[in-house]
Amino acid sequence: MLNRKLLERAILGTVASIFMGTMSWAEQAKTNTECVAEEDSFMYACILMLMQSSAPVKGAEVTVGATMPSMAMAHNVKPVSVTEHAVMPGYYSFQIQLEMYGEWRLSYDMVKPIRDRLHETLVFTKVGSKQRKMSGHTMEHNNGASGKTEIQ
Amino acid sequence: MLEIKDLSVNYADLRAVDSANLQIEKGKILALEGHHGAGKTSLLKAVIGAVGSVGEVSIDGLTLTNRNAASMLALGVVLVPEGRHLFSSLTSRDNLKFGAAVCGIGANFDRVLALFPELIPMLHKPAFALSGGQAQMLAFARGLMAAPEYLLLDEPLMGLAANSAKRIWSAILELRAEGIGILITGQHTTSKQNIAIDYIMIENGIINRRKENAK
Repeated sequence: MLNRKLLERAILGTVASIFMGTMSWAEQAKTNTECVAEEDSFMYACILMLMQSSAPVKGAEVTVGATMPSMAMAHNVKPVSVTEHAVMPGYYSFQIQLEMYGEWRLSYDMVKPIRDRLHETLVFTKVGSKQRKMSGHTMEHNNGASGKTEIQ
Repeated sequence: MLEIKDLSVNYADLRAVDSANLQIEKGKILALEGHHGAGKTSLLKAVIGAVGSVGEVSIDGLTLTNRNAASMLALGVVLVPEGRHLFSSLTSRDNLKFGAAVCGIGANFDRVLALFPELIPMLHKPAFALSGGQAQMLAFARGLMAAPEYLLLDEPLMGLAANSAKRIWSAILELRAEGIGILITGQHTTSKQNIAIDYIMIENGIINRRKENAK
């Protein structure tokens, strides 16, 4: 017979998932991306934290492309799929092949659970990605807003 | 009880885990020991559905099909992975908050900070500023923010200095006393500790020895 506590916990988790999946989208989603260089030149393995209203966005369908702000016409990487991380709930992961070290603007196109476009600019080095400002994480959105990513 | 029956994992032609059977009871620690590549991580991933597997995983007799990390988290099964998976640019506090937010519960810092008071002065520092031992404590603490009933700890002592490893063990023993069921993997996890726990060995994907109450 199903343990009552287990059942309660499952119901609570399901309700939380439904709530997070259908909550009002008044607040725009935010991204936080960290990448580590792979052995291949300019190939990076990245993890993404996608948050909205202080809650992880679950079940998102997202692709990510990259451009170099300083040379947008010359360096434009085709979008790749972002997948939910198999081990870490709430995380997403992707691999992206860039063309050189330097500042790249990642553009996320989310089609599910809502349509949205998010941007994040990172500096890619031989080791991995780092943020442009050491004082905090600079995050841009398609409406031009920017701010420090924090979990409220 | 979290029970694993005849669980196997295949990667193409390689059988990483071969018909594993084990039980994790609440309030008990089970150590799974073996060398790199023995199948420890694959077994843990299979339990939470992060890799494909055949066999059965159940909690209190309820068989869990179509498992994934999120659904297992909702059922109180938390994997603290090897490699920690912390967001290095976020503060320790935000990494902890994420651990609670991901399962839709409020952040209860008191409990984890009582267990790991070393993290208190580090809360507003980014995770990249932490030492290896502190980072492991943070990864462990983030898992606890989800209020688990079963903890799967993948190589939590790897690369840690002796004093940090001792602190992690101390926390594991406290969690056992609280009634959490714990599966911990590693190489010589128990032999370096003067702690009485059950342990099993895995070699080439096969659980081939079971010993009880080491030391």
